[in-house]
Amino acid sequence: MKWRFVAVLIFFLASFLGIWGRLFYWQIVKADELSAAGQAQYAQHLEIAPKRGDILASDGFPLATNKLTYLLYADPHSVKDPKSLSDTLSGIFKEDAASYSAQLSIPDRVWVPLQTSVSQEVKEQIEKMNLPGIGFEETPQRFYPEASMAAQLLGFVGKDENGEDKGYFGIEGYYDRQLRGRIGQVTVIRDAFGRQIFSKLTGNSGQQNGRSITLNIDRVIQFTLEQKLKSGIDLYGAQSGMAAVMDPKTGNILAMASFPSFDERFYWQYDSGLYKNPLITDTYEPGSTFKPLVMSAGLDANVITPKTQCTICSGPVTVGDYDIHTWDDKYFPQTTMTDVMQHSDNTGMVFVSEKLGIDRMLTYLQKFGIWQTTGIDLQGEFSPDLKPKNQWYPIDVATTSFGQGIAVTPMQLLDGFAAIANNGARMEPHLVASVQTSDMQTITIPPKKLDQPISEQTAKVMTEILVNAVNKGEAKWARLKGYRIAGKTGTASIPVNGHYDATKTIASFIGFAPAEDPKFVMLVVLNKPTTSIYGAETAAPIWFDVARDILAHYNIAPTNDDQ
Amino acid sequence: MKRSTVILGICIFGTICLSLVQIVFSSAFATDGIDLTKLQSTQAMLERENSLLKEKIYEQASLTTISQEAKNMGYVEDQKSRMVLSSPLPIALNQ
Repeated sequence: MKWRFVAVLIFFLASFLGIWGRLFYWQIVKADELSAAGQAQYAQHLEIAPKRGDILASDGFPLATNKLTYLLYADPHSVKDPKSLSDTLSGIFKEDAASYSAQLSIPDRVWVPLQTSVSQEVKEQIEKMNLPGIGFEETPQRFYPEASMAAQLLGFVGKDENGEDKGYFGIEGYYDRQLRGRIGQVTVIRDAFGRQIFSKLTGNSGQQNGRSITLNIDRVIQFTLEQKLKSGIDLYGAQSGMAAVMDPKTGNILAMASFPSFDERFYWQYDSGLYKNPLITDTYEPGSTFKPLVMSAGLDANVITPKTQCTICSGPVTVGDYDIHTWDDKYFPQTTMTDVMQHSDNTGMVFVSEKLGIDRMLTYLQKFGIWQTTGIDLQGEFSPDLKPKNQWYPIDVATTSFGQGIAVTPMQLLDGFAAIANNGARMEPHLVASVQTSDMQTITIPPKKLDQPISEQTAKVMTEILVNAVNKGEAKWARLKGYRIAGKTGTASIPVNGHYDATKTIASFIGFAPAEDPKFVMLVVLNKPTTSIYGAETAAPIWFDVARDILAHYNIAPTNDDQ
Repeated sequence: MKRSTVILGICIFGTICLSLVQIVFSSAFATDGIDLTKLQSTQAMLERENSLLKEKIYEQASLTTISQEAKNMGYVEDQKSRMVLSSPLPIALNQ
């Protein structure tokens, strides 16, 4: 009998060992694999796309936000009459019916996209038609409520190599990482009917909406600037034009525009050369608008005073093999420095440069920010390099004093000039005022002082010289009566193949107002105006036209000080 | 009654009770799925509606639209007279 008990015992022990072994294999060795296989049957991993942050104007109005559009797609196998569907869609979207037919006739496809950017109204219209075999998919799209306003400043949103949204150029490009946010993942458990089981819903991990960015851009000034610049370009027959408005005390960019431009909603339809912002990427010879920087340097270095008389201004000045003339070939012997600025006298500026000498002039110009990027928060800023000192010839120093033979970006000039309006302090220009995080915290960007090229006293003296230049200079006919405005016209010849073409100029005007307590500094540049080549007759009227609106916008009343 | 029978009875009763509780909770959770789906679709609908309304407001409030509407209504820019809305002087000085 005993051997039978032993046999049964061994049988049961072996069976239990077998079961334990099998359990060990399933629960320890194959645990991860089986768990994943099980989850695959009832769990679903979803990606939660972040919402791209808004770009807001200083009044909180969105210049770029998101809107809901739809992608219209079709299952070609379920479409009963492809020709009729193509004709119907062609009638709605005003597109060629052949493009829809071509999509629907691709063999062995169960899903074909037919139309992007379908609005809610059109979607509802199509849904009412009960067309078989088509469907809609929600696709968020960038939306620009002010249409193409500030396109070169905002940039646009395209796709990267993985098909994800990516900002290019302007604010969209520079702040892309802040704006785009982070994709999150969520796991949902579904019941037999495919419905989510509430108690098994896992938390959202890692998803973060993009941060919204508030700009210093004043929507009213931006709108005015664009309208007036555009009509000015047409009126004066210019090839292109650009302008920027800045608060000299903080460096805040209040408006920025250039034409021709593009429409960020349909950026792919435009030449890619239009995407860049010429105010920070293109260089030009600034001409007489550069004179205030050199004159300020002379005043600050105490080599001249406003009443210093020019001893070489009775005729053309010879420097090396070159004769330097005034723009109108009129000469004023013993003219004062105040009058040099008023008459925009090139020979007077050569006198200042000779007094300064190359070392001091280059040092001052560097402190004004020439030959270095301004640090503006935009993609693609460029700056020409300062050439080695041994390559500077006397003629280079002479021509630089009146803004020829030197290249700057409009932003460099504006930022340097703004120092005169800000008691000699040069601020970093910046567009972004604050960043709002997804948890509603606000990070404010404070103003940043870059340098102090000239003293407060020099800035005040220079301001008076520039007020005189506006009141009595070539652009006096366009000035705003009742306001004290400091400014300077510029008419720079354009170098073509090593020579200057006298009929092709860059006409500009730079200035700030009100002179006693500047609220804005503005630069207007027209490229090759045809009705007149002079800045005083083209860029200056645009400048004063915009300035009038800005002063009214800031509620700055005219004073009686109308010299 | 034998002690072992009582223990057995308690065990069976406990098992039945726990099974019932499980059935009740499972049923409750099962219907939560329907509620959740409803809530999610309501949320999606409201978000969609909100997005569309916001879009309309932005379009109507844009300076581009307002200036175009003003033009259509015959408003023109007056280049000569300008009204500056400065702060009024105190009554004591405003004589």
